[in-house]
Amino acid sequence: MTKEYLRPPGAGNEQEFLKKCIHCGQCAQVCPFDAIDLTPGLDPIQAGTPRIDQTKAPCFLCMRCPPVCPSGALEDVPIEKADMGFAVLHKDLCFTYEGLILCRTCFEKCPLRNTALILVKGDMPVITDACVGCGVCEYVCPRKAITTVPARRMSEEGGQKDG
Amino acid sequence: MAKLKIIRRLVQFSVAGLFILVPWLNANQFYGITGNFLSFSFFDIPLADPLAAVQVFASSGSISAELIFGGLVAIALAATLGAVFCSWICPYGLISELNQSLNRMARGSSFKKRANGFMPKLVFVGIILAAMTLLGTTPILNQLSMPGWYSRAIQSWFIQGIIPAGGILLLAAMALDLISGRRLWCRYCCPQSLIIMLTQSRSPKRLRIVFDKRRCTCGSSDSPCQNVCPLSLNPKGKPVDLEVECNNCGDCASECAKHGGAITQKFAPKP
Repeated sequence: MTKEYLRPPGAGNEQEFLKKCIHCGQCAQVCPFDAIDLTPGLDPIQAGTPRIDQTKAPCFLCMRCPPVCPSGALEDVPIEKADMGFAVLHKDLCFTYEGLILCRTCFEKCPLRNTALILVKGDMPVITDACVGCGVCEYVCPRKAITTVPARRMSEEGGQKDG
Repeated sequence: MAKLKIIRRLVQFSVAGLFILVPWLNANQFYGITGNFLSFSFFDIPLADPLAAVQVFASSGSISAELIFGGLVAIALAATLGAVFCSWICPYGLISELNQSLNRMARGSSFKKRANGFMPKLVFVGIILAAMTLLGTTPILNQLSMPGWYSRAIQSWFIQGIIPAGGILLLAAMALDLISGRRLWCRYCCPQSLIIMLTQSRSPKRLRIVFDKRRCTCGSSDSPCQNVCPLSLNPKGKPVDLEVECNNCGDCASECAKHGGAITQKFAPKP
């Protein structure tokens, strides 16, 4: 399986995004976390479009990139509608669900904590429908128990959100 | 070298340098100026490649205010000063001219009138834009922008430490120009120059190259003005032939000033 990248916040529907993105790279230039890079390679559809590898640097939802997009490919949406994807928690790998230690790292770092990522019964992390798929929890998880699914794959496969 | 050409080279090198400076500044947390030759933001003033704007409209059916404004700035420049983007600003224009000079130095200066490059471009870009409108293809003509690749290569280097594979197009075009000495890319391929050419050829009054036959001291046999034209055009020919392709670099006028001064660069109505 080829590696799947996230789009920056506000990209919305993948096809509409690709029609509007003019490969100017301004989103990548203003990203203070160097999370956005520009797709290399010779594919004329993809080359130069922005992408995020959440395992190297996730999106912290600072939302500086949508306003600089000149073509409207990235829409200036509120954080709750960033709509980049969805995080999936693999309970069999999670420290807390295994009962080994009380971890909470994902909860502490989630930019939308208490809405996108909540603690059930005081300490069991649960990812809700409010998750926008920024990839921070996947990045910080010491057990690699979380994977972030890009929004475009969810629409392609009918949107299964259960982990 | 003529004074005008020295100034022009300075401007060209400054612009080429600017697109090294900007990604460096961005990498050092300065975000006032961002972008590349497809779209550029200068302290919130948007500038854009008009063809990129047209492509977004063709493929998605909508267009942002920034792209409209940015594209219109470029079109207004072409309508008043002609295609000076190509001769004074475009970094690929500079690279192409230098390659041509190298070729001419190696083989000796030679002038031959070359076929007009406007129609092949018009047909090619027209077909792609039609496909974009019908099939919703993404703005793929951006991948053929040589100034785009110049700036994108440097941009990628500062963002992620790699030169994108598409930069190979830049090297290929450079090799073509160096070997042929004919500026093949600029004249026959560059899709981005099409809108600039269309605009300048329809401008009622703009900066133009004007030839006054009565003052020409060279006659028809000797043509120093033709020999210096980077686009192999004939400044002494029919004025309409210069309308589309001449990009107002001014080299012929500087050269002619040493002779009869028959060629001048000034604001003139459409011939």
